[in-house]
Amino acid sequence: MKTKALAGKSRRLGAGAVLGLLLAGLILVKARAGTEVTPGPGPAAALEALAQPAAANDVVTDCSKDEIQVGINYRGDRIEFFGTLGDSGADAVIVKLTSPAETVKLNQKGRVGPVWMNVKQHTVESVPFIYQISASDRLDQILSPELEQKLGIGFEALKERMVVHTTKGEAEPADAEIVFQGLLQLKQKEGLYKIDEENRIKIKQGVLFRHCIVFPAASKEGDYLVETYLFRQGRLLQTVTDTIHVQKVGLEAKLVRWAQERPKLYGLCAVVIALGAGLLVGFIFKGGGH
Amino acid sequence: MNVYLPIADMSINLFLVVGIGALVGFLSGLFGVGGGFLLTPLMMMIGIPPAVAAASDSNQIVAGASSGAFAHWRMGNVDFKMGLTILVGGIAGGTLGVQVVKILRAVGNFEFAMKLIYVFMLGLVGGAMLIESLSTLRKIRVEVSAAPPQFSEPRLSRLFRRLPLQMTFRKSRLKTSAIFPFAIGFAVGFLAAMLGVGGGFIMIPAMIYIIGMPTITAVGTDLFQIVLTSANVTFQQAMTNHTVDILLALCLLLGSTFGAQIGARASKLFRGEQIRVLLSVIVLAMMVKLLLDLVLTPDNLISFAKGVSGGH
Repeated sequence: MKTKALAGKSRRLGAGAVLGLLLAGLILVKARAGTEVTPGPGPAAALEALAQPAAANDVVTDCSKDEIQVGINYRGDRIEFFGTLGDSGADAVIVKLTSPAETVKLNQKGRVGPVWMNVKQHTVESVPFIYQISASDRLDQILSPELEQKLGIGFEALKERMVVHTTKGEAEPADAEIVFQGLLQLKQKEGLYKIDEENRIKIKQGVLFRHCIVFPAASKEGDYLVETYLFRQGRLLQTVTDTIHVQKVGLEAKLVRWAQERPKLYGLCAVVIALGAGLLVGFIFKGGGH
Repeated sequence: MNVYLPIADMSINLFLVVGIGALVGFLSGLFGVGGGFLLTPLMMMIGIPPAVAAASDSNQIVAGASSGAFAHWRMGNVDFKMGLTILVGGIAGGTLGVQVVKILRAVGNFEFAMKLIYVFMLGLVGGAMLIESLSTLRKIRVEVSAAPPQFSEPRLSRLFRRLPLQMTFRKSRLKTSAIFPFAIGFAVGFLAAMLGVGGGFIMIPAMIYIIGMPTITAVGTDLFQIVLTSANVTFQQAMTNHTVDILLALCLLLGSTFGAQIGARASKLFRGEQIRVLLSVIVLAMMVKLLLDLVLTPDNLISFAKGVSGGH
């Protein structure tokens, strides 16, 4: 059933050989067309959508899986993301991976006598947990700074959206820049914020593009958005949104939940497990453990 | 091979964590000390948030000290009356310490306070140990070989006999005021919460040279109070600060168990003073590292509050 639907679709898109090869690697099949930003339909509905004859000018995007499970051996993940431009005539693509804006609390160090300690505290609004951008060209070659601002593309646009409140210590005008640069450095170090200038998205035969989304080891549960922007000569043609769900599973998820929701039980278990493990180890080594 | 530590909220190489446990276990087997005061700073160096490092080390200490405590109890080396007196202080100090950790974390200066206390503790202990062991090595006869020289035992003992709350400790064969054991228990309990240490490096000299307990009883009683004081700190940290990472603690235990076996064997190859010079150099090196952390200009002035990324 799956193979049949995929083969049919490939023929219609006219880049059968390339796309067929790509789609063969699919684990979960899901496609969404147009500018709709609704949560994804189930796999069955997605297959049905694939089987429908696509409108001639449809832009189709898809990814190798739409769910990431963070378990005990999680160390980051990769998702193959690809799409077709149909006959939209787009000459440039930007793919943005973000998560919903949140409010974070940051400390700022300052010199106190001979030592450095945290002297200020800031609350920053509109900080996405993750922010990654890949494009088919340099951003300033694709779109104007004004459009970058409007669409929220690029670190400058990200900075514009953030609001810094100083909650402890004296607020100074220079702080906003220090806070943003510091936050950027923290996020970039963890691989969470990235504007990928090295691996450009390649548009094959003018209709097909693919891109590998790299999720770093730092993770947070929630719905991540993959927004695909299509441009033609600096004008935005279309936006397509896909959702990737990140979820903590297994022992990992259970421990986090227990630690937060049943702290007494968790603490008691931690002590009992440690006592048990310690005594067990002691018996194995005949009391030579300490 | 990576393991995702749920509470520390980070992916870390399993061999790195077990390896650090093994290294500290090796040193503790070699030197006959707990090693918690090396473990917490090492955890922080590999990127574990300070509060999680300290709380998880307390959890690991419960495991690490339990078999030793059990063995000493079986051999009759535990002075329960003294142990409980110290423990009352230890529980109070640990419980207060965890609350102080909470407040310091809220104002954003837990890491600073912790490193500052570490610098003082490690400097004091490492310095005293270095001076003492070097002078022993130079064959200068020092009366009390394992004690920092400033402790003058008879004068303090006489003072304690005049304090109120006199108690008889039959196992230790002494009569003294309960005030000092309670106070030292309180101080060590507080440090256990702040630093994630067992506190043997303070408690044992205090028991032998200030209270005047026999060495073997001091060791057994110290392990007994360490298990229960650390158990209390672990429980309180889990309840108040949600910072105990069981998985991290178990990885450390795994490493330190094997490390300790090798360390105990290696210790037979060296003389006691040589080992103590080596330990004091390690302790002082760690102190310098933490001191530099405090005084050097940080490469990023900004950090996430509570030390966990993503604003949990």
